[in-house]
Amino acid sequence: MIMRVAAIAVAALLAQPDRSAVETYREAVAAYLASGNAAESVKPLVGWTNEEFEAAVQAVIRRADPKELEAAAALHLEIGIAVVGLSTGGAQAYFEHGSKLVDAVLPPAAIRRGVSAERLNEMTMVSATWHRVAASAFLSVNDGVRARLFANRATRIAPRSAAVLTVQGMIDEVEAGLSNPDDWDGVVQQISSSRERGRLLVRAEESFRAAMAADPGYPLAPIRMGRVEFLRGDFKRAQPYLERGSGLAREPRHQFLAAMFMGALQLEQNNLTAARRSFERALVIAPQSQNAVAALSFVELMSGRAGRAQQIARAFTSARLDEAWWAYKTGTLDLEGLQWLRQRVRK
Amino acid sequence: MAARAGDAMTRSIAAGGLIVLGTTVAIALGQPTFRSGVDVVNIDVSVMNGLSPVPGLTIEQFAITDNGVPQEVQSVSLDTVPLSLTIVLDTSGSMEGERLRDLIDAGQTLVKSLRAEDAAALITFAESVQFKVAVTHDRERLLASLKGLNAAGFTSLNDAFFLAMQLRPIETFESRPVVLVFSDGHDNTSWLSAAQLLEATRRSRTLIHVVELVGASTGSFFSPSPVLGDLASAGGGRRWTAQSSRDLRDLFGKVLNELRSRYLLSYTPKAVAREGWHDVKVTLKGARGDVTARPGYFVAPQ
Repeated sequence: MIMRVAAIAVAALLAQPDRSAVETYREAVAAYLASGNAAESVKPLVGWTNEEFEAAVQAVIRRADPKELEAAAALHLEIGIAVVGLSTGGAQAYFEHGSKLVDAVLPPAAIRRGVSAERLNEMTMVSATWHRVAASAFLSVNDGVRARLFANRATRIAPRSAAVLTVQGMIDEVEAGLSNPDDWDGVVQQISSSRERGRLLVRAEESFRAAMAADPGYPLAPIRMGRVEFLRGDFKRAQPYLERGSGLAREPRHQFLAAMFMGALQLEQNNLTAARRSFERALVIAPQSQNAVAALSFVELMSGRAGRAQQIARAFTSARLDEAWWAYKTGTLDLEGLQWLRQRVRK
Repeated sequence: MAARAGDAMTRSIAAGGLIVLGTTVAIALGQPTFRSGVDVVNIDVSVMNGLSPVPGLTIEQFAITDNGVPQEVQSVSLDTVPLSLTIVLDTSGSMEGERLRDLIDAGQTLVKSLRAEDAAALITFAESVQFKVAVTHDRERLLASLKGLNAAGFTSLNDAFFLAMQLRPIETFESRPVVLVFSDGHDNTSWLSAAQLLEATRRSRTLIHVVELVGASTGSFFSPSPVLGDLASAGGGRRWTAQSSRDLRDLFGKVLNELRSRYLLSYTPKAVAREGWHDVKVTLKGARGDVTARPGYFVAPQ
């Protein structure tokens, strides 16, 4: 991710070509459509003001070409994700434009009657997924406020979507994790922080329950539900959720999360053998995951195998910091949603 | 999580705090290790009067208890073993600008102050842990790597701290592994919890010093992290706090000065169970000074 940001930042220094802004913008979108390379495609646009983007976006919306709208929205999503680690405000600006573009793909209510149910469902899914991924990008940098902004839009589009409900729950779950009583010296602040954490976990649980009811086959909801129970210290209730999520998981990131959360649970239960197996499984799925390396090395140390703990750490080399690394690191960036949107654009 | 297991004893578990000696050769990780029924425990001790080391103490002036049982100190020496220093630097986004420049300057001064026989490694962290330079005597590599640092991202302090302890050089009698950690913030992206890190530190046998940048200059509303103080104590070292990044150079120098003024005490444990956690207390008799040492050591069940 950082390298992609650097590429975009360098391109910002380039002079603007002597062409109309809208034309330049459309060419960038077309280049992205053709190549799928966001960092290259966006070069002619870097350094643009928000007003310049707004004018170009409105022009593309007026053209109402669904393919172009979807590609432009995806490009804004790519840029926003690339910069979110450096500037959440900057990412929000890109996402706001992208949100308008992807909403424009979905026809207004007045003309929906003429659109097939299949097409309507498809476009609803695109827009909901787009907003869900944007929310997850903010969640991956612990910005719950901005994450909620886009997750709420996704909820308005697809209120019964298990994936959207799960993102809503994850926002509360992550914010609960950030509300750590141990960060405070004062007792009053510790109590307040503890209460806030409890309140957020209850809300997260409600969202995950709703997601599981909406789609019992969606794996991320029970996985995160298990995590909520773990954070509450209710290990007995956490385990069946994690097992269920693990059984349902087909996406590597979901399998990874299930293995990591299960390992953490087993470690807390002092079942070091089982924890080792879980973290080893996670490391097989994501060999350069810093989390999995640290977790497995820690288990080995606790097992009295300090040499093995060192060996695992020494085998780890820092990986290229792309969004896949980031998604596995935080567990919150919706990599599957992003890849699905990319594949659609490239079709 | 409770401490339940430990490591096979090794010939030299120097790591700043303890050296357990033995006689039966085994092989682990390609390095010779030794086991014995009679273990000699070495304890790396700092005695300070304020910020000044207290020199010239003798064997009679130290008292040691192991799990509450008084032990006979067999030897004491001012430690002159070369350092194997792992420098772990926080390069998260909050370090951007002047703070990073001051940190680089402090790091470079520290590297230049090492003796020829000392070795050092460099690890940096933001959300990811970066192994910049493996342990080396090559000062130029270290200086160049320090010069090229930039600051961005979140803080995976716990994971970096833990991995740095695991990446410490293989212990030998020829060097004393020391980890020096610098951070200006609280962890926000680690997998490992503070409690897990503390448990790992108790078992690491690595001497740990922590330098923390606190106060208004950090732009943080947090007070100094209680966790970092606990980690330094568990690692037998100290937490040093800087109110401004301009103080870092001076503080790094003081850490190095302290490292060069430590006593190495040794004793053979008597009348205590061999396995499990050993609570060690070192005090002075007829002398004044603040004693800092690891709070104990762990021997794994065989």
